[in-house]
Amino acid sequence: MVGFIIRRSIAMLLTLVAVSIVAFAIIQLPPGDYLTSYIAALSSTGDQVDPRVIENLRVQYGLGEPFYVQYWKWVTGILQGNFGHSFEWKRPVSELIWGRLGNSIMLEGLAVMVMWLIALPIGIYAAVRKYSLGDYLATVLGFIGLAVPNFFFALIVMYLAFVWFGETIGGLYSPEFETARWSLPRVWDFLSNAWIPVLVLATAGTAELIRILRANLLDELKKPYVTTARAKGLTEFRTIMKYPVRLALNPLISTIGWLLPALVSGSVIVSVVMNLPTAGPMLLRSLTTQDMYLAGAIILLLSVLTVVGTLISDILLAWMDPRIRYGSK
Amino acid sequence: MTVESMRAVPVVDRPQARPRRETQIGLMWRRFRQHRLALASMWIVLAFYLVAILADFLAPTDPSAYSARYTYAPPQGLQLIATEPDGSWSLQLHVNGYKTEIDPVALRRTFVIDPEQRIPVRFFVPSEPYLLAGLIPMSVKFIGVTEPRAPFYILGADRLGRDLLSRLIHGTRISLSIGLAGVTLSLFFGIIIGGFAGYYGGWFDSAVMRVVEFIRSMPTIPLWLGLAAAMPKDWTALQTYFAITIILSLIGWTELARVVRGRFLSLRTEDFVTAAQLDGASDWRIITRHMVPSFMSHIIAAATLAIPGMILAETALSFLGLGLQAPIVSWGTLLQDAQNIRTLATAPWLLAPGVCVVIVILSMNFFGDGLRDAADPHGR
Amino acid sequence: MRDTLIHQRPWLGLAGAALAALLAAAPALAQQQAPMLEDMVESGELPPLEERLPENPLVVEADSIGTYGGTWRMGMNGGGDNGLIVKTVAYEGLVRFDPEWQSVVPNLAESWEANADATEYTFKLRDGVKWSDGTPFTTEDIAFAVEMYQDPDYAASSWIDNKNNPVILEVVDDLTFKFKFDTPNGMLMDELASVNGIHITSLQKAYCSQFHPTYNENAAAEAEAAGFSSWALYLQDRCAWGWETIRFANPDLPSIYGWVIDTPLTANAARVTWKRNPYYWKVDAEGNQLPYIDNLDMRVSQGVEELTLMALNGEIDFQERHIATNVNKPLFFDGQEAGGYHLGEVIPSASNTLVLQLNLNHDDPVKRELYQNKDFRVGISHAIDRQEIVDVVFTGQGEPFQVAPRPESPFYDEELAKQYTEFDPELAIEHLEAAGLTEMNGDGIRLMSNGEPAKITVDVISALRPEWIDMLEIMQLQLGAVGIDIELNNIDRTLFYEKRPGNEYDAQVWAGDGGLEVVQEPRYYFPANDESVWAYKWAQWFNGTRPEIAEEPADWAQEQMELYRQIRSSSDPEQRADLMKQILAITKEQFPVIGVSLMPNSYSIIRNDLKNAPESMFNAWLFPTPSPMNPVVWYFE
Repeated sequence: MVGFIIRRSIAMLLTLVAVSIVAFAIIQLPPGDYLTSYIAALSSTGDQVDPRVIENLRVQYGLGEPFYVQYWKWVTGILQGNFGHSFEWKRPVSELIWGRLGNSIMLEGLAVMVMWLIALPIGIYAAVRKYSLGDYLATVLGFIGLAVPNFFFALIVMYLAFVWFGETIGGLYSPEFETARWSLPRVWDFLSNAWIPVLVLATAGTAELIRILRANLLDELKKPYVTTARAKGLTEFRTIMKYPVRLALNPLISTIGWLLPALVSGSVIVSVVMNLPTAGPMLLRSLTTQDMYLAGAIILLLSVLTVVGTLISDILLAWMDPRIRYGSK
Repeated sequence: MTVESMRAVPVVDRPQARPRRETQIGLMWRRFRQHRLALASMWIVLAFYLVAILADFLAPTDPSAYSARYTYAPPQGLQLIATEPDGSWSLQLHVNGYKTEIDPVALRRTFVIDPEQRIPVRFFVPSEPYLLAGLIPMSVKFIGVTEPRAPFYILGADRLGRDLLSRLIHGTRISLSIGLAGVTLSLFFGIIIGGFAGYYGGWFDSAVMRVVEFIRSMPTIPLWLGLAAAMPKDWTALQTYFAITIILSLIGWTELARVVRGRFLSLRTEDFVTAAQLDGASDWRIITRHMVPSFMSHIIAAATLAIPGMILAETALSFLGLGLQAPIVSWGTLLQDAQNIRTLATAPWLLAPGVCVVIVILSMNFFGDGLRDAADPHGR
Repeated sequence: MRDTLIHQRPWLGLAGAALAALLAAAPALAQQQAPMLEDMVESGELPPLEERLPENPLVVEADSIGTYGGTWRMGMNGGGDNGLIVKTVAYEGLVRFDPEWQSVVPNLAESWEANADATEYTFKLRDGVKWSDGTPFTTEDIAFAVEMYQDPDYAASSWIDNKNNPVILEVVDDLTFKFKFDTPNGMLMDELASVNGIHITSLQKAYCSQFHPTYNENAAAEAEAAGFSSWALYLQDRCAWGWETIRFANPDLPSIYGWVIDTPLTANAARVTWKRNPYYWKVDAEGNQLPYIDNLDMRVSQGVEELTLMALNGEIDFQERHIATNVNKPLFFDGQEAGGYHLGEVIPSASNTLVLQLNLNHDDPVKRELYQNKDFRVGISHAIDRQEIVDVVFTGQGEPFQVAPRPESPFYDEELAKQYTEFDPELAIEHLEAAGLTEMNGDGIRLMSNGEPAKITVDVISALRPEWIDMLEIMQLQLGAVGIDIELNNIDRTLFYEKRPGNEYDAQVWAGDGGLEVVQEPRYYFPANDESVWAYKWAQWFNGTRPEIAEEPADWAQEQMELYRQIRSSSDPEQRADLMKQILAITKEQFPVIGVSLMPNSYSIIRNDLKNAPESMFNAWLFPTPSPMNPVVWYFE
């Protein structure tokens, strides 16, 4: 087990190095740099920027250097905990991103929990009562959740809340808690604001979970040991819950790996519509203004999040299933 | 519900049937037909693709034809029964005209459907000459009104008085083809890379799998955002369209490569392959006659399931202002026009592209599920 | 004190607009202050009101005397929406415009004088004005600002360090200073009264000098300790220029605004809030210290849809920016009763909804010759059915219009505004044929002299104004009918600007700025600045910022440039107006850019309980509304 964890961790480190190169390459790809987009923004308010000022700034920001020099500086900086400076906000990137990443993680973590909470009972029900009306209904509803574009759903929810309840939904905290320290009332406030975006996020992935769980469970239910259990007179509930459900859950653990990247992506769009202080809108903004160190740090950290998520699910799986631990296919 | 419906009719159920040559595809089709929902979904998907191909013929008007008099005109709806004032009625396909008023203070037109005004609707009405699918010269449209300048907005009009139905039909072309093109590209990469990995195994296999794992661990939206932002911005609409397709498939191929590789690995040890080998069949014959057909069906299923993701991705990118942009008409750009409070409040018919997205994605999923089940009677 | 009239403009009858009094005798009534400040004075936290106010505070007159209290709620766009702050809080320069945008009136400077050839201006500051930290505002701060702006390490650009004619400062005493210029600068007062005037009053020496090595030898070390790679970056972070976004991220930076930062504008701020400045130096007609409103609350929103819903729900008190779009109008109109607000009138400063700027300096000699041919431009202009565009895109709001001063402007010239606007395809074809476009290809597109089809690629940023795409799509069909092929190139803003120095465009579109601020923003009347995209290389010849790509302009443009130089060197408003009319006469003759329709009025959302807020106002950047309408005298009933 220890060997397995070490092997996987080394693979993860290699992946992280690759991720950092790709992240940096992505932010370097667009033509021009922060200053060109800065000049564009100023010019549209009628401001003329002296080319000398721009040259000075370019030197101050170290923008003229070749790719590998910039990358090396960036990556060595990160190892020392320095993510570089945000050009737009003139602050160290590390000051800006943690709060938002925290919100992202909380929101996505909640969304995963909600997805499981919805998918588990429905998936079990759909498998046990297959081809019943409920089974069809659950599947169709799940797929509709998958098929409705997230941003669209979010906008409709916001509008309906306004029309029906006279509420404007937006943000994750009420004004009095926006800058407050964490406390029980703030947690409650967060939950009372977050449940709508969480629900919007969760709709997209629930269908997939239901589908996997149902298929797995159906396979298990056909196996002889279930028949044996039934023959021994176990109640139907115990028969199903004791082993089949547990075994059917195994492959679900591996879904954490792909759930996270999917949720991160989904939350970018939902956050823009619902004005949530997550990493998504900041990433979007930094990409358009070419605030490269800020954008790079967010892409890198979101990727790290998913890589780590994959590692965790791998380890969990290995812990539950010895075959994987010993490297058999 | 997908897996079992076909399992209910195992091949062994008919031992008495006289031996009949059955191709892989034929087998698959027989199993697929058992699955009603998938079958119905298939027809829906085919219908949408047909619409895309015949867009010029089916769309009643030019998607960019605007009209000052009918901005935000609500849907007329097709009427079949015409009632006369004296109470008699007759069968006549028609739409009703509008009574319009301009409100200069609130800045809008108000429309009331006027049942008095009857505008007859005909099939195969003559039109300006055009090239169907860019090839066949035609000068007739499927449906339309014969009176010139009469309003014909079955699904309503947008902010410039353009016919939503026509725009939707033309948008189908872009949105469905972007999915198809993206998946084709993904398939190409997926089969080549996945195939090689499965065939050679060893270090190449594990290297490819590491790359796949790596790409899948990148959250897609930032990746798209970065790549889309990096696209040379002086590209034309068409170039952007292709670039977006490539961007979408850059991520899409990984899933397909995994499927192909997995299939390849498992098929190599399948009994029927061993049997064929013992039978003295050449490698070439084994691969082309036995392995490829059986895994092609799988690939088709996997590809079908990948298309919805591409369509959704296109709408998401358009929403963020990074994908296709007006004047290109796609479901994504139509939805981008519709995603504001004004539309929700006063012109909900403009949400129709959203409904199309939902229908197509649902059908694609059911269709793909059915195909997957039909492709593999033993596996999941 | 002298009041410099820039130009005569008819009274607009801005009912309900607040009026700035042009200095009155010190009010005799007992002075009052906000209750929250009274408490602080009593507890000793603040000196008494008399000590905080200047000798002769600026008296702002308004329709009614207000009451203290309340919070003005508004919405900001996510990211750096510093524009909103400039337009509501930060417009405090030496002088300001009156609410009718007719004259320059005193602000921090109580009087000024200019010499006859406009090379020397003498200003007298209001005695006893204090920064928000209680320290006096003096000529030292002016001198420091000039020094910083002219320091190449301090990244800011304005009229102070204009390399063609920089400010030379002479400090006379604590309250008196002179601006001198080598070349006459007749338009300085207009510049100072515009939004650009706030540069000179934005830096407090006492606070900001600590980040500069001239004043603090440890500046570099302190910058590093604070996590900055150079003192210059640290200085720009703590003391950013004029209205730079991060300026509002530093709550420690002293200011002279009516409200001071409470919650700063950081990357993570969900809202930016402001509280009253206890040292604010303006009073109402009864001598009560302003502002009336206690707090400002700017909701930072990623998408405008949240702001739209907030306004509908009555959660926004006064706002025009971001939400008052054409498309939203019916929505807001219907929501008035439920939301407890009403709609005010907003008159844009822009003349035109869309200006089609053909690149007269095109690198391709064939296109250059064609685009420079007036017949070609006139032909295109006649081929556009403007009334149809107005009906379709603007629901009938506006009228066919060229790029010309608006009807509200004293420079309005009906002929300039209306020439070539009638829709007449036959006349259009006549002109196009006169321009040499007689042959056509199989698709019905006219051929240029080199046999290539006459295709114009038009760059446009739809993200900025979505209606541009709608208008261009209609124009595409209309121009196609006379054999001119228009290709839309919907691009990103950065690229839009990047293409200019490289001269890589056939045509670009923008709105018609300069409909009211005719003298200050003449970009479409002659090749004046970088925004004169239609003759970018000629403009460089004129203003000299990029000499490497400059090109000698046509004679008529040179004549206009000479006239504009005379405007700059004249201190007489009458004479300046006269010269400007001569420039416009040449514009009329040459017809360089093509307009579509008069920019229709917009609207503002005003909560019914907000008083003294303008029912009608101009909207411009140089005249940063609603600030010139004195939000400090607005109050809640």
